[in-house]
Amino acid sequence: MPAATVEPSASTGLVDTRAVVTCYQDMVYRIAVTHTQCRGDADDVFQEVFLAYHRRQPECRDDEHRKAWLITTTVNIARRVSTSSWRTRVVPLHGETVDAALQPFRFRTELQDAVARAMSALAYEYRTVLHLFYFDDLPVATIAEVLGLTPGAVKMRLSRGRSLMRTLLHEGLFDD
Amino acid sequence: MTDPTDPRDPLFADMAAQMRPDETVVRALDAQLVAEQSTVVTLQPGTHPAGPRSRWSRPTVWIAAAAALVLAVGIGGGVLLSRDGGSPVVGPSGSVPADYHAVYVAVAQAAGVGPTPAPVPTRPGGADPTFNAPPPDASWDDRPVPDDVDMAEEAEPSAKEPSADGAPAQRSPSSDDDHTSTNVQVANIDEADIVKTDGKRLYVVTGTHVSVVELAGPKTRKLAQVDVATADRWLSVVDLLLDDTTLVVIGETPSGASTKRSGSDRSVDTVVQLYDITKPSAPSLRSTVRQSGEYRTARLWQGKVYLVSDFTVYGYEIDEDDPTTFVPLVSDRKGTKLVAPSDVTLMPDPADARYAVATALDVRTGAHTGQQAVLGGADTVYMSAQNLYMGGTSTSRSGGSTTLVRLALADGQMSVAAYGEVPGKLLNQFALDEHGDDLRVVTTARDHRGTTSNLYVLSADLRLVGSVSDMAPGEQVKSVRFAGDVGYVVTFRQTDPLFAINLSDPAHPQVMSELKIPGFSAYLHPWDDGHLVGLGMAGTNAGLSGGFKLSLFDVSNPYDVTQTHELAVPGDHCPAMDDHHAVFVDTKNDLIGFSVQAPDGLHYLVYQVNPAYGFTVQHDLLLMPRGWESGPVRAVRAGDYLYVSWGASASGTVGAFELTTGTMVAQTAI
Repeated sequence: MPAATVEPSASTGLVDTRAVVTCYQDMVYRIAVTHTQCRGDADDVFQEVFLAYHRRQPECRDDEHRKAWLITTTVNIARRVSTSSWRTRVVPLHGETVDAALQPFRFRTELQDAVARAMSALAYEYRTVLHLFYFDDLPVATIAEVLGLTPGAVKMRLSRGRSLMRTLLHEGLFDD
Repeated sequence: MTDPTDPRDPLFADMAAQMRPDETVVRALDAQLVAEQSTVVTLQPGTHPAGPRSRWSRPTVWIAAAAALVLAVGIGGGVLLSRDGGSPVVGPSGSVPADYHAVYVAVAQAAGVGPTPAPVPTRPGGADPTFNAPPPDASWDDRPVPDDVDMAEEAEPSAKEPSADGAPAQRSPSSDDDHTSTNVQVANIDEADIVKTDGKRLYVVTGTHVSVVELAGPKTRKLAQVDVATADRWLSVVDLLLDDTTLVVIGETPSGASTKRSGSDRSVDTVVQLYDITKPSAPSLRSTVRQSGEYRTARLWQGKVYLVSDFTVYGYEIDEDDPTTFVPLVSDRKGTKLVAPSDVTLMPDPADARYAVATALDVRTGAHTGQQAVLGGADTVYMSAQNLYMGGTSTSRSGGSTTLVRLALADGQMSVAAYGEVPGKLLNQFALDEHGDDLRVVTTARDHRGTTSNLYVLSADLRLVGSVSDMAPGEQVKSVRFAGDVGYVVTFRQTDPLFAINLSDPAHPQVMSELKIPGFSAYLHPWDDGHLVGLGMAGTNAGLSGGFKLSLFDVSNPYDVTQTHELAVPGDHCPAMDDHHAVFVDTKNDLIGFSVQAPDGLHYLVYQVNPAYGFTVQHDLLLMPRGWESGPVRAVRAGDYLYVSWGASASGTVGAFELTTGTMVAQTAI
């Protein structure tokens, strides 16, 4: 992805937002996937996050600040969408096949599906930290800054989250 | 800071690479962005669309104005002074449902499923059924205090009860039988922790089992192991409590086949196992109880365990005709049952479909003596001798607010006695404190101006009696500690103002002093009558320096609080900053201790605290050279030895050290 440095006030909002989308679309989508129930929800979250960015044009000091804004906004919107996502969906009454977008996100292997299912069973406080650590490769100090926690709190959540994942999975992936 | 789990399994990178948005979704977003752009241009006739985009373009101003108006109405409609009995009584209309159908409607709405809900059928229950919204221009800050406001009688804490003011009766923890115990918020109300001791034996949690270690100086050794898996294969142990000859083991296990919920593979129950330890080398399981939800916290008081779990209901699991899909279950040796509608409280506008499930368990009989479920969750739990308070999150105001429920405790029974609501969020359990009949609360609120810190004094009905608001605008509350008539609040942006607040007149709390120092204290500990110890992060006037420090504050004159001593604490990671259980306090020997992680390994630091001389390093024990411990570390003093436990998440160890010299005399694997 292009390492664009986005200048907030010089260009028009649309050029600005498009550059941000290109730069961060995967990161936002990944968080949306692990924090919602299905692809349909993740798609909704993806749209809402960047629309929110576009409308609010938050003044970001630098790319790190922008990234932090996007991460926390995505987590918040994902939590809201995933608890209300069934409000407008039509639930099939007679065993019709459910729209693929309503199924949980499927991965390449069964193990990966199991990891995803286990992660979706965790409370958000653990899930978000585990996601940023394992899927975004962020160091503990950065996770702490982004989420407004102390590094100690991040480590506690990582440790406890790993322990819960171990219980659910009984795999060696989360051993210390 | 190095991390022990690098390199991470390539599986995660593979999964990450698959989590990409579909091209159609990206294109749809772009189309929306273009459409938005056109809308903006239409609303700004006369503005050149290619010009620099002002942050305050018209649609944004609309939204900001709407938000501010909602905020004013929200606050105006919220907690209001009402001590004279004449003005309208307002507050959140928490309600008790008449039947499971009423519960279904509330849960479905919170979860965002089902048809548009009809008004919830309820019967008047609890303390505050009326809800009158005042006119929109009312601002609760501006309400004058009526002249005939009664002031709460200051209840003198009796010598037998734990201090109702939340301060330790002596410096907590008290040293009974010459050993230290868990550092708790309210003296004599024990809080569950991963390590418990009776001075002769240490009980330590290691995730899959509980180890019993005989504390005998050089002869310290592992005595026995409680294998919780024998009773429940999937049980993951989290915390312990110790009551005389009963070891209370608290853990979590997947709900699995115990419920008919189709999504049961994602839900978790909290389990309590009671073991008889009359013979500590052979603990035997006496009974097991269980309740829906993830474990939140537990207390032990007068032979009863008060346990709170957090139970989330997922929208797609709800079946209107099957209450087991939307009501928590509680089970003990008498059987499994749903929480009855009369034991459910529905808070308005809960942020999620989440219950706080509180139970009281008699340790001797292994039976529940009370249970309550509050729809609205409990992110924060605080317990005094008379009441269990649960703070949940509500979306009824923009900027967020905290709902408060007071469960009155009597002989192990629990009943909802009051509900209230305050703007903002609670930092942790130390932000709540009961003093006499009043509840003091500190929150950080966010509004269009930024963050502000506020202190509220609430009556037994959880109505506002007095407040100090807008302390340190733009800053965040970092630590709170109440000690009798004075409350200490630390806020932080670049420097750490330590506010001392006079609470002797609940209707008129006043800031007595504000001490500004670089860095901040994350944990405050009253150390005798005139001193406060703070553990936190060091800083200069330019900001945080990244290191830790111990501070000693002279609070003998709260109008002139000074920092008398400060000592830098080495290390990169100090778990005690976020977890008060990680702080070791030995009042008999004037010691404070905690672990730190440094590049050269895991250390346990013990300091002597002397109001005249400040902090002196007594011991710097290198527990794990070049090692990293992500799990909790705990220390206990019994007799003349210091026992430290660490490594519980991998291969746990308990070390015995001579208190005077710091020499290790024994080490045992657990």
